[in-house]
Amino acid sequence: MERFAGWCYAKDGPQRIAVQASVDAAGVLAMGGVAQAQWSTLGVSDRVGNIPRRITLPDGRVLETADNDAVDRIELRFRRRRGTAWAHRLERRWGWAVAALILTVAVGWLAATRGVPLAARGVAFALPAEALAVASQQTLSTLDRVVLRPSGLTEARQAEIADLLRRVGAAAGDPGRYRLELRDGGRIGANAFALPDGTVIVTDQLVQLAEVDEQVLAVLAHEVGHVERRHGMQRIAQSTALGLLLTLVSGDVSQVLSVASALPAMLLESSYSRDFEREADARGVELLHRLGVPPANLARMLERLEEKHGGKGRTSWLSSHPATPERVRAIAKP
Amino acid sequence: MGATLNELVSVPQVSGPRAAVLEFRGQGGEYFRIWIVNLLLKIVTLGIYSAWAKVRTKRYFYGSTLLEGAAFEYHATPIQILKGRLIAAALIAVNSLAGHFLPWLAVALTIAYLLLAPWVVNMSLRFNARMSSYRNVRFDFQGTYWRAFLVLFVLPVASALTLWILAPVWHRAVARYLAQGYRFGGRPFAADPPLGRLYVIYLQAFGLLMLFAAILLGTMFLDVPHPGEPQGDGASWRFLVFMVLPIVLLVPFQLLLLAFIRAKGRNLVFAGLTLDGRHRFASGLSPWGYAWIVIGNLAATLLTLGLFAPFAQIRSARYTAERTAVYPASDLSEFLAGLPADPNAFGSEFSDLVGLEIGI
Repeated sequence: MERFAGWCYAKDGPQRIAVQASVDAAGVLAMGGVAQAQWSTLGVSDRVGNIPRRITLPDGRVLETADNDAVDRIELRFRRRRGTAWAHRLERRWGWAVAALILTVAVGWLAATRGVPLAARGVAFALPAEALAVASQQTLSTLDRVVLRPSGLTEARQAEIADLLRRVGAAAGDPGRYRLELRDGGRIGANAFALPDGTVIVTDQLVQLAEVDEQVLAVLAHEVGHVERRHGMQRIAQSTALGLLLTLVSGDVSQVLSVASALPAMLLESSYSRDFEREADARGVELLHRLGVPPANLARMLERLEEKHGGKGRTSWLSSHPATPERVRAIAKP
Repeated sequence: MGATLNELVSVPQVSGPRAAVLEFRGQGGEYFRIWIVNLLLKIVTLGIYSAWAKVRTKRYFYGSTLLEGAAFEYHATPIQILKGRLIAAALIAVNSLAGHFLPWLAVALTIAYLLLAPWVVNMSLRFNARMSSYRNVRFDFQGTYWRAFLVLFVLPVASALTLWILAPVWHRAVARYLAQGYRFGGRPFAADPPLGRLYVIYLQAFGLLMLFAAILLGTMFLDVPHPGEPQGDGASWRFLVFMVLPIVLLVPFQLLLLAFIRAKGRNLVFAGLTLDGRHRFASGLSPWGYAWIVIGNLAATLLTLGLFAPFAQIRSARYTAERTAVYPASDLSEFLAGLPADPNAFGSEFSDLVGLEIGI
């Protein structure tokens, strides 16, 4: 026989009386000695900490009690399906709390370093070609509106560069996929980007910066590496996934912490970005070998780009990309 | 019950029965365990558990807040919250994808969302109110689209355009919108904070702002290094103290200003708040005490990489509860006993309500 004290509320109303409740060996709830109902027919709220429990009787009256332990013992004995009672069992002990903390950190770390990149890769490769084309044209027209200007190179020179891209595409086994867009880089200067659908944007300044055409070819090989691995789409998927993950961790905590989580998000995204650059470098080197062009051309071009941008103090170049000496060393490796 | 509100803080004396002060029984350690288990389960279930976590958290805070020995209750089910979150996530995902692929659609959707926002805010306040009860009596919220529209868009824009001269008008409109929308047991709340006194609060806050600006500018101009002065370690120290320090202080100062306005504004609104035209309320937040809670919580949470967050939530809930009181016109139990039973109160209609959440 379990006994506990509580308040019995009228159905849907505030009128209440203090009652002594009891549950006998057969699982029948009695209030003030009067049998009411079988325990298994009652609606019992889940335990959270030590807040009062709400026990709803079949006729709509409510029995409220602060005696959580008594209710737990009765539930254990007479309830077949016990809802989320397991949650309270985890929350009750410090041991579980410490284990949960360690697991949270471990799972969070794994999700950020492995899970997000893996999921992003899956999403990027699942997208249909049409989606890549739409997103790419969108990006190109935005870039054209905001920073890029029409190329000032002669048509003959443009055709030469386009021919270089065809050679790289052929080496990559898919010559029809790549399309060259030459532009005046404006304030972004010497640069090259790959869009997911195979469009490769190269600025006039980059072409002029190159000492020989093999260096332009090396940059194109690097960009083709980005296209093949769908890095552009992966980046969109990564930042979405990371945003979701960080909202999960910090969302309920506070507005201020959500803002503070922007910093780790930035650090993680630039670390993902550096991994992409390493991948694209490695693929670029492979393609250059196939074309019989020494990979040192890529290394030389990276150094020239760093001189150019480094002189202007562009740190973003360094943070989203691995340090140039490291890349040069990796390229030089046999 | 324990001390009356007047023994804790100074609030205006209201004639009639003594104050019933809110009591908060939540414990930092107890809530930390709930919080960390929630966090882990949210991550391993890719966010699905967040609905369950939300319900457990809300139930903990409601159930730990007591008035005259009876706790508040939160009744939403995780499935309701989950439905709301899935709808919200789908809308956000559609908008974000449209941003990458079809910008015109993203613009159209954003406009549609903005137009829907007042309705969503009303729905969300209504859901939350209806899922809350005290002594088996439910709260409710009824707001009109245009009142919400005014509070969400018109007045904030007007305040910003007038360099916050209209901010107190906005503040009053929010207080009226909320107070006049809430119901308890079908009885309406009402509030009409005097505009003049709101302006006084905002002027005081403006004074604080000027004071800080003066300190900040003063440190910048007072210590310009003189030519010929030895440069070196001393110069970098000065840079740290006079250039970096004001920037570091900017966040706590912003929080101080917000806490000041919030505490004083809440006290003023509660002083004029009524339920059923008879029962009165009081809030006695000290602007400095409240600011200390807010700033201390932020600092401790950042220093512990977020681990203090659950303790911070408990700390501010306790501070606010213990400085909030009800002055029933007659005995509280008598008032409650006089409320009619609400046949719809716990009916099936609620199980169809979707837990759309939006902060206001």
